[in-house]
Amino acid sequence: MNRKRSQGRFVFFCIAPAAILVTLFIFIPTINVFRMSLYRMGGITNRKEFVGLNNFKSLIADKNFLQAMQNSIAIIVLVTLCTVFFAILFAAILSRGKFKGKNFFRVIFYIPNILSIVVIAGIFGAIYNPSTGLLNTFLNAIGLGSLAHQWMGDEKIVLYSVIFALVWQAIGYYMVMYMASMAAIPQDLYEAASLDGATEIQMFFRVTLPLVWSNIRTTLTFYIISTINLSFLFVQIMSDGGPNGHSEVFLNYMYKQAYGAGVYGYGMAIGVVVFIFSFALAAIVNKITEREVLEF
Amino acid sequence: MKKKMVKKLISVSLVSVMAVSMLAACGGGSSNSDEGGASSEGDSNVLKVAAFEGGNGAEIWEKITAAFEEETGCEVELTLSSELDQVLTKNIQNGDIPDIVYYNLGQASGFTETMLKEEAVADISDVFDDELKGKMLDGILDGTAAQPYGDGKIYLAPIFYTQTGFWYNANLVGEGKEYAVPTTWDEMFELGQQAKADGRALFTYPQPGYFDATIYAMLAQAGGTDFYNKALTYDANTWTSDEGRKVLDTVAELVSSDNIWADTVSNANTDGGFKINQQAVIDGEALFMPNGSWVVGEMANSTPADYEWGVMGVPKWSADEDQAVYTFTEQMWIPADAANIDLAKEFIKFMYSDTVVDLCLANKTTNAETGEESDSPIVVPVKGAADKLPDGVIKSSFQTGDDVVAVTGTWATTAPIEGLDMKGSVYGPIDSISNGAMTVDEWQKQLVDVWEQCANAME
Repeated sequence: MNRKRSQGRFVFFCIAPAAILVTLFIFIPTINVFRMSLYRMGGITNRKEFVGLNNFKSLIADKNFLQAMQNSIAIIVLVTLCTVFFAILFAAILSRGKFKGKNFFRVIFYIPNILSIVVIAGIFGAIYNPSTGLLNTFLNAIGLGSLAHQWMGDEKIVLYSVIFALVWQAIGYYMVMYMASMAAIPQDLYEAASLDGATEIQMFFRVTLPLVWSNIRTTLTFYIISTINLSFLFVQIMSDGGPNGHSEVFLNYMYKQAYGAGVYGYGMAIGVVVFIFSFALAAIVNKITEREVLEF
Repeated sequence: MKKKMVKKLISVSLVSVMAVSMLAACGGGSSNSDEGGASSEGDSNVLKVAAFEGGNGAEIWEKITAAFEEETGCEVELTLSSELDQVLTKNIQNGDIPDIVYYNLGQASGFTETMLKEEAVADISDVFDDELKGKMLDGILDGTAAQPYGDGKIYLAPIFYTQTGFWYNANLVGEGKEYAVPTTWDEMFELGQQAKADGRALFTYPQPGYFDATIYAMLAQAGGTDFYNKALTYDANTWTSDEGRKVLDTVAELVSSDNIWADTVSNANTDGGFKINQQAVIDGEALFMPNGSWVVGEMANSTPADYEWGVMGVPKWSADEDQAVYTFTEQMWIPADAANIDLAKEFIKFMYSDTVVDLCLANKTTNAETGEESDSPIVVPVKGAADKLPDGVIKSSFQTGDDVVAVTGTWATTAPIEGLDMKGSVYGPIDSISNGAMTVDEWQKQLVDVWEQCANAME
């Protein structure tokens, strides 16, 4: 009995620091965001006025917010689709393919992840610059000058320019994650499949993909959360939402409203919507990708 | 058994050390803020000055505060920061309120605007007695840049000023040069055709937000002072009137693909891209851009030695009209909860003294990259200060004369409006118009909506 009690005490003291930290730095601030979204406040002085759900009512009618929301959803969907496709493709090639320099490519693909966002934005600034940028200069050099565009100036293209940078940045990270789980698949499964006459493509769809599925599911949640966060950083540096709001994302809009327009409470209301949106999206994606877990 | 016990004891003690140290850290934080709160009540002989460290450099503030200490015998506690808005937000929430703040309207953080919206700025009308008013430039205290609520009370002290206009490459434009300086919009657009034939663009802009001074000047030019003042306080007819529409149409023509430098919009929105657009004027790719005298110092690193800047007022619609010139002021204000309001008001008065006027005119800044020191005169809005400037483009940017009408003010301060980004809604469409993605009618409609929202939120 005494032993059980002392064990209980030990467990309590082990958990306590983490529990206190999580409460202090995660739960309380999150609850505070929800609370502040019910106030009209500027965020500098401590003056505030309780307005109930008024901030959320204004949000529904706010065209700029809806545009930012639309852009964010487009970014999340397209970045996830493109990154999953390329990351799995490269991971499969690098882990199953037999050619020299596999490690070299692995490093090359991973490099964008080591770079800071500011450096990446600088690189893309140099790529997209309309007169001196790599992209337009290259297109002109190979005689495809008609395809040269104002990559960051044209409202119809700017969002895709940001998406391309996000995908470029994300591929390496997810590729390494997929390669790790592909490496864990026993070789004899592939040997058995090849004895049965399966081609590499069939082996990919019948053996590799089902066995890394639970890994892909986990990364889908990462995609949603990291794309929401990274799109804010990329947009803030690459375009600041311009031209005329066509590359605005909801976190950048929230930042502008909370810290630039003097409506901090409204900014927090946007934060609440983003919070609920990302939770709900992650839950939905998790649910619809549920499959029977295959083990080897 | 003994070993196990020792192990257990060690782990328990480590865990408790962690927990205690963490709690201690949190406790420390709160006790600091208490101290901050206590010090805000302040000693009546200590003045807390918080100044934005921007293009004027830090040294000028050290000199001004030292001169104030010498004159009054009080002690000045100076806080200088290039991120003053963030420093002050933290301090104010902790109850550590500065006595006086130098932070301009129109910054991206909107700090001064937010303080105004929260009614946290003190009324300083009594600082400007008849003697001081007589000394200051005519009209400089009348606009919404000094009276943000448009109620006749002064909340913001205009301490420095500069005149804005179109800046150009004087190696290409000017008397006896390739292109003549235009005075009317017709001449301006004719020049555009001439420039286009030479492979140059007529116009570029650093960012759409730089159109603020241009649109203010154009509104005053188009409709006169009364129309302009009504526009600043959100008169419903501002944009549907002939004058307002004329302004929008002219801006649209100015930024149309015939006249604009093609890369302008791409660069305008990227981080640091506004400098590429400014460089286009130096390199002769575009002829004119809206700007202020700070551009000279800002672009000094990439300006060739033989390059000359020129500046002119925003063109007029007819040659015999007076020339409206927008005067950009920098603001100083007192937080309503400041502990030492009386001493702070003395400081504001001191900002217009001959001592400060001379210190500002002699200001120098040091280039962080090259270490070179260069003249960077600042002009206090008192009569005669601009005349003391050395001859050159900066002096010529301060236009005086019988036919010059100085225009000042900004869009009036309203109660907070959720979802409204004033700069984005008014100037953002200029990017879209330049691209051809938006029409002037759509811009006009958007402005009418914004004016209606703002008029409803005026107190």
